[in-house]
Amino acid sequence: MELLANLTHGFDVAVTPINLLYCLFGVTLGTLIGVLPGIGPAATLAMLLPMTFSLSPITSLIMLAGIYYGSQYGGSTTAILVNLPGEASSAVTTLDGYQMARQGRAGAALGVAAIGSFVAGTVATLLLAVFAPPLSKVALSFGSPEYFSLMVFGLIGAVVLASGSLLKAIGMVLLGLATGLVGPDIETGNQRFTFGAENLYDGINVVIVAMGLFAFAEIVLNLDHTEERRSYTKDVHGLLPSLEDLRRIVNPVLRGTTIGSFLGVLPGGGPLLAAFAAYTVEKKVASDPSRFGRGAIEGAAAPESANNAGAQTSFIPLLTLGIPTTATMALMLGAMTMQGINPGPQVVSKSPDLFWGMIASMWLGNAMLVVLNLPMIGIWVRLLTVPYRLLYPAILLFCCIGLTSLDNRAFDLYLGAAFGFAGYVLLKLGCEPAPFLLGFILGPSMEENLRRALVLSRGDFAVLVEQPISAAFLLAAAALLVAVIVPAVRKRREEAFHE
Amino acid sequence: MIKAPQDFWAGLLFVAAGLFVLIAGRDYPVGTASRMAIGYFPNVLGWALCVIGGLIAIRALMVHGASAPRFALRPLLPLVAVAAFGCLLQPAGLVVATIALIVVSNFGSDRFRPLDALGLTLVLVPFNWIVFVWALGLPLPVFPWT
Repeated sequence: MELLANLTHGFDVAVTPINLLYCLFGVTLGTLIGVLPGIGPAATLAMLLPMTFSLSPITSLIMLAGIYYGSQYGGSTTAILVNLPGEASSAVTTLDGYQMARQGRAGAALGVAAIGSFVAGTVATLLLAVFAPPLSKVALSFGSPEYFSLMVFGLIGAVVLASGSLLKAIGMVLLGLATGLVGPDIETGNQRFTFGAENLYDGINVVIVAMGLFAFAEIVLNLDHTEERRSYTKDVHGLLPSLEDLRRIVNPVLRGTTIGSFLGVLPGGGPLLAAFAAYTVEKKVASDPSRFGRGAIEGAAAPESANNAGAQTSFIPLLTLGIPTTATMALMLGAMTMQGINPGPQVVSKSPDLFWGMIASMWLGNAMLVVLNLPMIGIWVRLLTVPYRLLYPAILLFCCIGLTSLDNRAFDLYLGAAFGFAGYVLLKLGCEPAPFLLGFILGPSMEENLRRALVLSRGDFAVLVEQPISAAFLLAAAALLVAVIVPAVRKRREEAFHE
Repeated sequence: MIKAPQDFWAGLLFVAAGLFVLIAGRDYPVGTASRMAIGYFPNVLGWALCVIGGLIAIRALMVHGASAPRFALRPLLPLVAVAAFGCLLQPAGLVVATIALIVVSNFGSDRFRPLDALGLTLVLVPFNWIVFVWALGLPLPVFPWT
């Protein structure tokens, strides 16, 4: 069994004291920011990324990944206890989770969310281990036309599956691609759009963009909505769901895991869409759909399983193709690049330590989350009573230190503030920042692959549709676009997001 | 006339960004499809931004949608605080920069709360020092004289 040998090797890497410690730190911090509304995994990753330079690549990626899936666990706590999504992907958990809490079943709701997440995390991690290596072998044969078309497909997918206006999301992708132009041209080294500013000569670091769009803009927007956050604590007792509860959630958890694992792989899908889809499906298959919204335990178990499964499987396209599907994955890609790892299909074969170590750490991290978090819920709940006006200066400060430790220059902070301003204006105009970041990070390699493909074909764009794999990606992208433009599907999509 | 002001302004913003790319990149050689020069991709992006932005704006004239957002200045103060931190850190050190960041960003909520600022300073300044300078060893100047 090659898989077993690889996994054993992965565990050897993951259980070294330093990796275990950083995994623990990552999942704990992830839970913390998951619990706190107003700061998400993308902003946190941007904040910590510069501080991971001194760590080895595997240790830093283990920690950063832990923050991501840890935040999926934490998000459910806030959703259930305070009726606020700690993370966007937990929004749908508020519907039934909070109702359960009001009926005095907060413990059971938190318990099934955690158990569901753990089952989902385990299954999805296994899927990653089974499917990523063969997929990466396929991807190794990709040439420039295939890569270009794959990126087009990825970006279109991110646009189609994102919430909000399709046209505006496309605009944001283009804006991100344009921002990615700043800096030296890959082939000739000529500077573009740097306007003589030496600080831009290496291009703009993804950390600065993400920090501005996801941390600073978010803070400004929160201050703009002047409503004070309800902070209240509730006694949580009896974390263990009853046997009857467990029996009821077996199928929802498995369904949620399946849906989440599948949607997590798709560009733009990720945990958010997975949770919404899982909830919708549960409501459809339930014998009595009217229980939903009134504290149905399936309504807490399924979406929480789905978002965690989606968080894990969204690593598949990143690790096998080098294509990020969500904003957080874009930062993981940035982290890999800065650590000198070239993200793409060669990661599995060339850096087996990294790949298998990360997979093993994900399973360990999920186990840690279940064991550690349930007893710590009291602490998390108390954190929620800290008012936002005390939190945001602290978040700002840590962001500033993160930006400073990139290159130790004030310019990066000014640029971050400028991206924060741009992000705020764009959010107010109803434009989501995630497609921007994906465009920004994919832009340079998209241009490079397009140029290479056309050099080889002597300027004939037909090369993109003559290669079967490339044509398939473009066809899939076109199909996605058509599907959204057809009114019937569009209506369903809007319903799914407004549920 | 304008039925979806939010979309309308968003569209104009994209058009403006597209024009900016086209104008700022007007001197870059475009080359041909087989030998793309540095201006080719920016040129395509600039035009695409104009087209998408135009579509959004035109659609906003025909289909009803969200009203224009109202922008406030006060919530922008945290961004000023970030810039202040950046500009103070090297000359004045971490302590001064942190205090400046806390005070300026504090004005960003509904009103200035001196007690909050004091409490945050007392917690965050030592925390920074211990975690970032002492434990993580980041090369940050702490005091104006260091």
